[in-house]
Amino acid sequence: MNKATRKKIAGLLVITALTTALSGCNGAGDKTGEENSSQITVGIAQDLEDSLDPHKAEAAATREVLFNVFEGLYKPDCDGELIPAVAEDYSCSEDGLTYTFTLREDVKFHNGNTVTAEDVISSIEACADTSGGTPLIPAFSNITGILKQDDRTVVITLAERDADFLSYIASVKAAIMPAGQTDADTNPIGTGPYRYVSRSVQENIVMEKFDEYWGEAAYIENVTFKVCADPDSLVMNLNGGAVDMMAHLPVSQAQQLSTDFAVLEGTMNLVQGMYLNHDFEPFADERVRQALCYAVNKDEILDIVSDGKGEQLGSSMFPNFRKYYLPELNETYSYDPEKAKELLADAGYADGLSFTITVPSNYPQHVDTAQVVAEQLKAVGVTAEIEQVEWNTWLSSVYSERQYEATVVGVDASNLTATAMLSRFCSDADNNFINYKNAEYDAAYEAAQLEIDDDAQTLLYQECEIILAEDAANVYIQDLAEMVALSNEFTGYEFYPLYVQDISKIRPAEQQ
Amino acid sequence: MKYAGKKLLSMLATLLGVSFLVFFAFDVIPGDPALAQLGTNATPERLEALREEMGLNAPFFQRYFQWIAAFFTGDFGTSYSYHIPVGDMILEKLPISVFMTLMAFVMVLVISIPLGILSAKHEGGKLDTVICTVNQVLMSVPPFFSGMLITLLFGIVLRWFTPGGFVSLEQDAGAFFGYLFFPALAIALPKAAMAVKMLRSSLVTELGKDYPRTAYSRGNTKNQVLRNHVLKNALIPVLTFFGMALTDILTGSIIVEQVFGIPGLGRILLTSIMNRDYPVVEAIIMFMAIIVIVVNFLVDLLYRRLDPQINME
Repeated sequence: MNKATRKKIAGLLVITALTTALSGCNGAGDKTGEENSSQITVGIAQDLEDSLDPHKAEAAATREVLFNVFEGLYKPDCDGELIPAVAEDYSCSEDGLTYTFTLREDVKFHNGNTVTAEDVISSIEACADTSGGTPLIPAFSNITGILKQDDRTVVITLAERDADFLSYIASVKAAIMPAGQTDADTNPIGTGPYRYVSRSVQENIVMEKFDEYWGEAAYIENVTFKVCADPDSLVMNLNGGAVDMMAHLPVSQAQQLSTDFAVLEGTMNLVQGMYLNHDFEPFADERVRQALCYAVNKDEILDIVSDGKGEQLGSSMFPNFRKYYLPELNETYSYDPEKAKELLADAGYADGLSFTITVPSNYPQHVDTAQVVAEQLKAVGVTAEIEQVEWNTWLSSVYSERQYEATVVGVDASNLTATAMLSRFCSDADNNFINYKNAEYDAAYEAAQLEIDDDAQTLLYQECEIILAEDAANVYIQDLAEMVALSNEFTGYEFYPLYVQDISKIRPAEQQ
Repeated sequence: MKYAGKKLLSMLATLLGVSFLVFFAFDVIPGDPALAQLGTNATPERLEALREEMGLNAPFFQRYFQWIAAFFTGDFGTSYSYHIPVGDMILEKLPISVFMTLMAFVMVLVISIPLGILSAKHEGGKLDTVICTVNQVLMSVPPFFSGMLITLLFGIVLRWFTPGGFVSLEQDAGAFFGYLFFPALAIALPKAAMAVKMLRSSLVTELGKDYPRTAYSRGNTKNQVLRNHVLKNALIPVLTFFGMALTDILTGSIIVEQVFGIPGLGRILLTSIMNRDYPVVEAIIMFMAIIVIVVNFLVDLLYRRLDPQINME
């Protein structure tokens, strides 16, 4: 008896000792209080499951991080303007077919070498290479020649005039990389304000400030992008002090943050909607599509899904694209269930209509929206069944094979052009996953593409948006609220109209 | 020796079976690794070019045999998503999973053996009732939930550790083990509870047999009887459970890794399945299968040591 009790106590002591000792070790690494502001940990919801070569990287999540490492000849700023980067200036010929870029003097790569005209040419050529079919940047198939005029001048000639050309040049995808680099997939070398240091799969990506950066230097010395894959433990990660900054936070989680964080609000720059497969018989009928638009109450969706935050939309363009965005289109179909029922009856679906909404399960915002929509549709006699699928299943069966009826998803823009949002609705577009076919739209879009005058072109693109809205091509819902949590120790976060996390602008709060 | 040879053969057969199943499963489920890479930027032409580059256009059996041949020569391929050799990737993450499993397993032993004995010794008494009740509760709480409770209590309230503040072994070994302590505890608790229950009932059964009475009549105290006579016999059925628990902890740590934000093999396995990154998935599953088989083999050997009467046919 005595012995057993002693054993038990000993056992407990061992456990307690272990616990205290180990947590003691950990306590030393605890960041609160002794935080070095020259180090920031940025949470990312998924790892860069991609090549680290910006030419090949496809995921928005990868480009968003690589923005800090790479630059093109030009790059976007937070207002969506294109500013010189590796190039210091450019000029365009009268006919719009010849672009002459003057390279900035003494721009250094992270490996210490100076950027040469050869590096620029090889980078643009890699993106324009048509040997594997479509080039990495499809619009670059328009390039007919890339020439070195002298050590600091590169001339690019186009087959056809393209008003968006500079936007493509300014995307992270068209980044300038050292010529002849063979390990770019795993060892990114760019010219950006941060230099890549190391990565550990599913754990983190580490960068440090690049001291020889040509432009305004970054404030923070060391940046760790930490993978926080589990949405449920995210808030604990933030509140516990393991993560200083996190973008794309769902509203429900942003509300659980402690007062150590500022929550910045923006929009995600995407068009969330219930996208309809026009090859699914009922949706070929304009009246059915309009009925669905009338039956959906966007106010209610926003209230339920994101506490009223977000921007309601009525066409395939989001508010931060100020030049093209038409807010009045949001009113094309105001909530009117009676009208929806009438239209359905007209179309021959008086006895009801049923279809399946396929939603990618990894996006809670889309799943939630789909559920609210399905509930609202019940009121007008439409039965929508929700099928949640994994992202890759969505990509193959919905996006690629177009085997679906309706899907709730967000469509974003990969660069700052109207084309990025609108080209997919042309009848013969590769990525026209809704099988939209409208001769009027095709004509308007083509006219816009050929238009030389900037204002006239903008009007034509807006015409495209109006057609999409009036034709009820899809049930447009909203541009989702984007929440960024930033620790009070830092300041300076800037929203971009694109998927970008610009860490170089963030600075310790006391330096304000 | 004959026994070992037989075991080795069945081990190979199991591995072949497992690898084939995984390969086959990926061939059947929707999703395409090339499309997973290109995402919404995929065009039919680029997709085709990438599929060709990844060697996905070859017939199923050709791909399978190529892979298995490479696997057994130590070439695990390159990850589709990360473009890193799979071998390096697993090697880097291995310590996390191995140490977490071992820590959890040691905890199971340290908690369950003394408590099991204590409980059996006081069968029906107050202490026994308390232990059994607590046991029941712990058994019914799944590790991911106890993981969340532990994070809340020790991480947020007491601040004994920073939730999500995982540190790698190379960076700081002390902090590494410190961080793994709590996840290991979350995994260990339900398993330890089960082990206590099994050990207790096994001990009680043994105590009811004739030989302990003989031992008592020879003047042994209860402790002596338990320690010198009953424990060894009672441990045999529990040993099977320990073996299962060990493999279970390793393969089942996926969810707990997720809760505690630990970038171990489980997390990589999960994301690789989602990305259709076959080479990584195959290698990790094969690796886990090998460990399960080896542990079972060791348990069998231990069995024979503890009780030579057990026939090894």
